[in-house]
Amino acid sequence: MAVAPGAHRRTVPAVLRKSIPYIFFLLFIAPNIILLAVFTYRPLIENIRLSFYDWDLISPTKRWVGLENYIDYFQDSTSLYVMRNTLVFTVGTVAGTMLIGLALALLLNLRLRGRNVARTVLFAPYVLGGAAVGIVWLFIFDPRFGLVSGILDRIGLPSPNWYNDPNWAMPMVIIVYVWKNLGYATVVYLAGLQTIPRDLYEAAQVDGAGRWAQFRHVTLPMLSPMTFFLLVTTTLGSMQAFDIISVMTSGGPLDSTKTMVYQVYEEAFVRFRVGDASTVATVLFFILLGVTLLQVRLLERRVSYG
Amino acid sequence: MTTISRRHLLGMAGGAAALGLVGCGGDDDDTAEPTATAPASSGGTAANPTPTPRGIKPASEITYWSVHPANSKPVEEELIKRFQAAYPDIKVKLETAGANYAEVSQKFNAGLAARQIPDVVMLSDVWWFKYFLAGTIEPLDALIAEAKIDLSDYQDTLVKDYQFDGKQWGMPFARSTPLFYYNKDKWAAAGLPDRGPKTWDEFDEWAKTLQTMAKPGEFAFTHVKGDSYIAWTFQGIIWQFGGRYSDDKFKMTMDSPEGIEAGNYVRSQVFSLKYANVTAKDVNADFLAGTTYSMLSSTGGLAGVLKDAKFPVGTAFLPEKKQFGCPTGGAGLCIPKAISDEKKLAAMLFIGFITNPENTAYYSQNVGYMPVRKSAVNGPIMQEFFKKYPQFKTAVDQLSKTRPQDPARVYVPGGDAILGKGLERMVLNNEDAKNVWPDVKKELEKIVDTEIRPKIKI
Amino acid sequence: MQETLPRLPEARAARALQVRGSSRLARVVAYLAVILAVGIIVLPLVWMLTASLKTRQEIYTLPVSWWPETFRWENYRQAWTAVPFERFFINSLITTSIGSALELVNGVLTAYALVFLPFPKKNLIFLVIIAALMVPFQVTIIPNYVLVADLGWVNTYQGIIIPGAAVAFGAFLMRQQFLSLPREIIEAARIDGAGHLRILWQIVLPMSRPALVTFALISIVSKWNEYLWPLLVTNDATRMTLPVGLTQLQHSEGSSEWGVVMAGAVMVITPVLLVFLWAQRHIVEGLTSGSVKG
Repeated sequence: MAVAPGAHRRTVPAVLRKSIPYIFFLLFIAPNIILLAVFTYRPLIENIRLSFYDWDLISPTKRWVGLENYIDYFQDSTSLYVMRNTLVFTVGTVAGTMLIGLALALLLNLRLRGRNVARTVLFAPYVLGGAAVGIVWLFIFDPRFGLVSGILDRIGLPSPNWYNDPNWAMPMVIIVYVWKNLGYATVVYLAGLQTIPRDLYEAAQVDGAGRWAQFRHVTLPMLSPMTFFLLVTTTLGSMQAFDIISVMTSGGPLDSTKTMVYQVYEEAFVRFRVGDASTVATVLFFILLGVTLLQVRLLERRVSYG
Repeated sequence: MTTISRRHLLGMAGGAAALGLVGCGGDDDDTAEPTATAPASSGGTAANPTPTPRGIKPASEITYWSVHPANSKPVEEELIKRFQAAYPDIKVKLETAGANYAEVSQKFNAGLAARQIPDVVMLSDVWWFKYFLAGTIEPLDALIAEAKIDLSDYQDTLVKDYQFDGKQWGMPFARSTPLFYYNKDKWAAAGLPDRGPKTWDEFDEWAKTLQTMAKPGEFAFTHVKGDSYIAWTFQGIIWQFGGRYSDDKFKMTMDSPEGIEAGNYVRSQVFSLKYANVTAKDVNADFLAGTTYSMLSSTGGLAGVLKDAKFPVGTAFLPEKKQFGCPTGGAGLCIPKAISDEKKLAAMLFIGFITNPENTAYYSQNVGYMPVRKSAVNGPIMQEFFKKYPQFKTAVDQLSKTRPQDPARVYVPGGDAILGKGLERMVLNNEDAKNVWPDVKKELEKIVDTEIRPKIKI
Repeated sequence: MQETLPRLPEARAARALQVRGSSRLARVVAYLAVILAVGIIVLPLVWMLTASLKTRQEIYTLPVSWWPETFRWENYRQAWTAVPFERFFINSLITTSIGSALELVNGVLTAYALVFLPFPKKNLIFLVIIAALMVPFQVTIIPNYVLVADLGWVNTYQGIIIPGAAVAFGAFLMRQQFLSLPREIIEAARIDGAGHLRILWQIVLPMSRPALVTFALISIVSKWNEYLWPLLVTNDATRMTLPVGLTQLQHSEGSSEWGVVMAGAVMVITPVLLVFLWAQRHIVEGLTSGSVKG
């Protein structure tokens, strides 16, 4: 790549040569990005645009309202309550899913008999569709015929009024959601555990590390890519949980289990207020973006890759 | 999206003129609304001249979107078979558009945006008005006349529920009312007469006795919740107390003294009289399990309850307070506007056929909804049926005393949910109705002002 | 950080690591923990199974009965015949297998590009892809339906499959996985002149089998259970998938036949569970061909 006077013609191939690897990147990524652009980003942009209008989805005309939807949204006490619900739900489900998922993955990693069956059983709730899960747990939490009240009675504890008490409905849906998604976290962690080479443990042992120290200094760091992955995906998933809440409580009682995603659904399809729905969805999107960026900044540094 | 061709418009105007149609607002009279002085039904009681036909043939195929309420798909398929025997040139495609009324609305909504719409769509009482407001469903009056459907033979309230601004926007199909169900064994054990209470005051007395024999966790009565349509069952109650959710001009009136009294009454049943609770999820299940001795529930569940009950089930009219009051509910069939005239005609013929006296009786028997025709009630099929299931007769007898629902619940988009939440504040949170109703009123008024008033004159 | 370590002479000692010192007590505790965990988690599933064999009356009796009085296999027959079950099953099979295959290809290619191929501002692109996970489905469902209708894809397989072929979470998962692979091996292969596709196929993927299988499983589950999109896009049994078809078993007013509904749910979940049972091996069996140790 000599740079000589009049080398214009000779540097063109040089530029091309430098960008050939870039072309590979584009080729590899193109199908996915194109599909994402068409089926995810296009609606997203459209959605943000719609949040500046007042529209009912079926009339041919829309009315421009500028930021009015956003002003109304942030002044509405229900919206703020729903945001709080979303936060509580997300923290509860993410913590529950990841902690219990990790514990189970560690257990299932051991060479115990029957672990194939155990793994299948633990993964089964994840395989069930959200609606079916909701129906099954409807019965389980039923104050009369349900397992939960049966067990609590046995122990002698009072059974909370899960469905009709605004304070207990949220724990109820958190429990159901964690139950359903444990399998996901377990399987991902299991995959991660498999790729930890044994010699690391051996080396740690040689250095005199006990089991707990091995866990802290070998297992956790080696799992950190998966932890990061799970943190991001379960957070994003929780904030968008819909099926279970829709089947079990419809956001009630008294909006105590209404999350932002449910609010989007209600505004769009029950109240036919697309502008409001788009507003909530856009706010949700930016919250998710912010949370994820935070997670990326804070955590990816500490993730140790091979 | 809504393209009414000029020819079509003129055609309709011409037809209307020929019939001398008179448009009236809704009123509470029992006489049928003269929106279409329709000529002879298929029974042939020709008294009025046939309208000038537009010279079009019905389409050869139509699509019908249903949710098969109460597991009615086989019954619908039979009705389609019968229709095709009578009209061999029209094929009907039955499509499942969802598991419940909300889902079919969602699919219809999306379908309108994507121009994938059926020719007949099942829209329930709280969903159809929005589509009317947006101008996406067809006013049926001219079609009713053209298809020679005798509108006066339809149950008045059921027909009025789908009328607005003097026009007919849907035909009743799968209609129900709330009914007072009671557990005859418990009634007998408490020494009560084998009938429903005539008034709520009488029931308060009875419930006191019933509650003394109740084991912990059992109640004399159970209310439903927001998502199980307490706003629907309570509508009857607020009428019984002399109030209304709103008047026909969308003026909110639930915060009247009568409305407050009614709200505080149901609240007292739970918290001060302590003989009632609120269902966790499914009040029919509570009733069948014997943990509640009576309930207000849809007639749509009657067949299931009778089948599964291990005790004799009694049914009765809703109790009264100052007067009787009972709403109707369920779904009707609408025709979208943006389809061809030929399809509209075929659709109307189909709707008229499956709601004719013989077929509505068949549907009613096998599914549990009300027969939508007056003549069906007195016909041999239903009379036989009533002998076997007197509880069902009670439901049908009550039908003639029902009233069309209040606009606040059925015409305001999201109105049912808002009312339901307000009622939940009373029966779950023990809030005073005089604090709750004003909030509800404000929320509903806001929607009316922004979404309804700009579109129609009220 | 990966270090090259001198191999320990006793491989046997390494295996003994598993039960070192803790021996019997720890094993017992581990077994108990697993049994407890499995027991708690499995209870609702057991309930579902027993409910699928009960009549509606039995489900609603007090006190709670665990064992079905009569084994009402009739429920399964009803669920199977009330709807054209085989047709739904085939449709689900087609849409799920093709859809997941497409997702896998897209996800793997994207992850490889993000990790091993040079490009400016890759992290930004990565974030943009992750952003796709932040879009709630209510936002996408109607615009996509309109587009699919305009393309004439209503009630077709491609209408169900193509919009779902894009993948963000899978790309994310594989990216994490690829990032944890030892770079030296890739470098070595590049120096040897191997093309990217070859590296992907012969080196990267075999080393990532557990993550790949996990990706496949999660994708399959998600597509198999999809409800709202197929509900919109399909109109009749020729293309309807299982979850959509089975909601016909539920009533909207009055009580459903819950036993039959549960039977339907059991039938939907079984194929995927079988896939999982079979695929487990690949998640768990460790790395082969020693390419890690180099």
